[in-house]
Amino acid sequence: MTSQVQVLTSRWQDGQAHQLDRYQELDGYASLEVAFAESPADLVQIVKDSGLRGRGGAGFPTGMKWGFLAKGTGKPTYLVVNADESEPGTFKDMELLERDPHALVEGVIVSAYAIGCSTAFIYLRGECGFAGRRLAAAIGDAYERGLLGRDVKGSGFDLEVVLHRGAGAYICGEETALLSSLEGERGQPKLRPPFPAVEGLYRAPTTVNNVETIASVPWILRKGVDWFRSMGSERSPGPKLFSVSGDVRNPGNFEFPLGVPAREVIMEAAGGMLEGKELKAWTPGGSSTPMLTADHLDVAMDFEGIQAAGSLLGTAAVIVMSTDVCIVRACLNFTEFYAHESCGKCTPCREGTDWMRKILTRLERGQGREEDLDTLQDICDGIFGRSFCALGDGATSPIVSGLKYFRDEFSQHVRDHGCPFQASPVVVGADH
Amino acid sequence: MPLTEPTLARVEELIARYPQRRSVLLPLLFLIQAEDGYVSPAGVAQVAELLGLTKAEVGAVATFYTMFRRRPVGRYLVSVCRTLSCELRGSREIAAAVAERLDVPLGGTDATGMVTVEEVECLAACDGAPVLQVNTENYERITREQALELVERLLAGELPPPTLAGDGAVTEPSTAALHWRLAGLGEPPPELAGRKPDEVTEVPAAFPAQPPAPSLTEDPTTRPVEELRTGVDHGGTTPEAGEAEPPSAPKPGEDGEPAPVDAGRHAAGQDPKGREAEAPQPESAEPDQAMDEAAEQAGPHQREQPGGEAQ
Repeated sequence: MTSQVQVLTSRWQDGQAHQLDRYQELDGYASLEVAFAESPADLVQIVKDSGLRGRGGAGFPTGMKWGFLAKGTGKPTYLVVNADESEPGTFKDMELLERDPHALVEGVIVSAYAIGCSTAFIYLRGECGFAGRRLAAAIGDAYERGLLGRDVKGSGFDLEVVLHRGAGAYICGEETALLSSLEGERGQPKLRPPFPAVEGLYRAPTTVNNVETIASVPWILRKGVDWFRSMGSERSPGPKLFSVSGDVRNPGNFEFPLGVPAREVIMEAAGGMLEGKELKAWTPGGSSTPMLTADHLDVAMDFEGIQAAGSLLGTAAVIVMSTDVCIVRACLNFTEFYAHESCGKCTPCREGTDWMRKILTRLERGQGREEDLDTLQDICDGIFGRSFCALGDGATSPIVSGLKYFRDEFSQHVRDHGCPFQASPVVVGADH
Repeated sequence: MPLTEPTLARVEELIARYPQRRSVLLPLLFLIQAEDGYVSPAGVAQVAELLGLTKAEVGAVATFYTMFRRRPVGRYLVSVCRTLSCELRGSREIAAAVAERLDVPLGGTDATGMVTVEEVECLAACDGAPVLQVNTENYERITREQALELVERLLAGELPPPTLAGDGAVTEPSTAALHWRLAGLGEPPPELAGRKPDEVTEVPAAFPAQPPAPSLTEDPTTRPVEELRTGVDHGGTTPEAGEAEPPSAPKPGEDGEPAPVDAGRHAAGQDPKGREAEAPQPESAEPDQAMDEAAEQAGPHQREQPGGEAQ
């Protein structure tokens, strides 16, 4: 008996839900009526009461984030949707936009109304063609039907929505970097405070929320706080999308109440391990979250449960690695990612990721030394908590957890002067 | 000028969408790419003028993002994901095979200007691993053989349907059309559909620091550690300082030589990612030095990030 739910995914199998007419037949845009009957302040309170936490990785309570928006500044308030999905292993927002793009548009309308925003931006990753087409079409259709623009559905509320494409930079998923990018700058993070809620886009009060977060809001308005809280736990309520990939039979997105045991996500929904393979390690929330092992399958996948197990829920992107996977190589793969994506603004991250990449490369090539293991740990200690933004912290996750659970595998690379996993599909550094 | 009258009229429409003019910088760079196939020096100058920025400011932004290209891109951009879920399914071999078929290093464009191949980071479609994109549209769970067949079709000017074609996904007919769409101006003009650069080998470098992409056999990230220790990729620094071992690296001056751990790396060529360095400095200094100025202004970091073609 699965505990899978169908809330955010409820229209995904329909096949036509991306079309406005069909979306409305499926109760789409029904939350507008609920929203416009309430005062904006009451809507913010409803979202606070629901306990909705940000689905983009950090898990910050959404209603509280909205509550921080500075009032009476004489400047406009902006809603910016973070659709720059690029955490390795994460593919939930793109599928949502491909299959049910109006869900985001609807969420933007009610959220913008709640926070008193009349110009919202959607910062969409540039490399996702289909999601971009679908979302652009949905926004266009919404304008045509009077769901966007002046006097939305006769409510007196005006809302412009601007779809803005990113140009290839993982760091732009970090909210202050995203705002810099949206302002036409290099996408580098800024020191906080001031937080975007006080000085964000164009130095005006701004909230940056993930696609899944915003798409959850209409459901809360329509079905109520109690319904939302009937799923998940006290501190991590509601349904959540889990992206599962790697060595499983049936990779894909699955929707569960927060708190679902990892075993159910990996071994049941995703079909368990590929034929003949055994679970070795998995990331609970993308490459930036410390890996867990087969011993952690009964951990509850919510913010508290995963944290108690020594990792982070992140974007709930589960990358599953079998015993055939070399942890050193997996760490190298992730570290190459961070070394490439480090924006270069702060030294620990810029230099550290590159040092780690070099050390892991030589370990994998069999040219490492035993002391490299401690050096890796030292570099991680030098980055963690000392980098400008979370990218640096994230870059340490695979290595610190790799050393914690699989230290001997690193040593084995040193002892054997090479990678013991010759069955790997690609030998890193192979000459072609 | 890369952007001509009809397009410039649309630019006003873009500018009007944003509370501040500078926000159209990324869209404008996409438009320049739609027109010139890359971020051309003339394009940088034009964007700078349109937005009241210096060419250096525009160049500093252009070099930050991987989708802004330093050299003309082929009609079809084949991007193969290299991140873990795809690597576990053999994506690295697929990328290498495609590059070998095109007879170019990763990041390169075949001699006819039809196909560019590159490795990219996670494409947010990990359930379809290994994922390959053509002009940002996904071809999922693709085998090496299927990828090679796809490339043959692309070289012949055919465009096979993407994985989600049944759901309505359509692959953009050219990178020019793609870049137009990414600018946010809706449907691309039909004349962009078949556009490709005529000459891909001898174009003026918009970014003088750009090296040739690393060759398949000489990817510096894969050199034996002995070479790393020789300091080859650290230029003027001492071998010790060049090692990937920061805690024990000598302090500057300790051994009589100023040895900032990484300082010489770029200058000497052989950036670990092979993106910069040993770039043949353009023989004739490009009349427009926008990118040089950009490098000056942006400081040393800008060379770390722009990435793109080699990755």
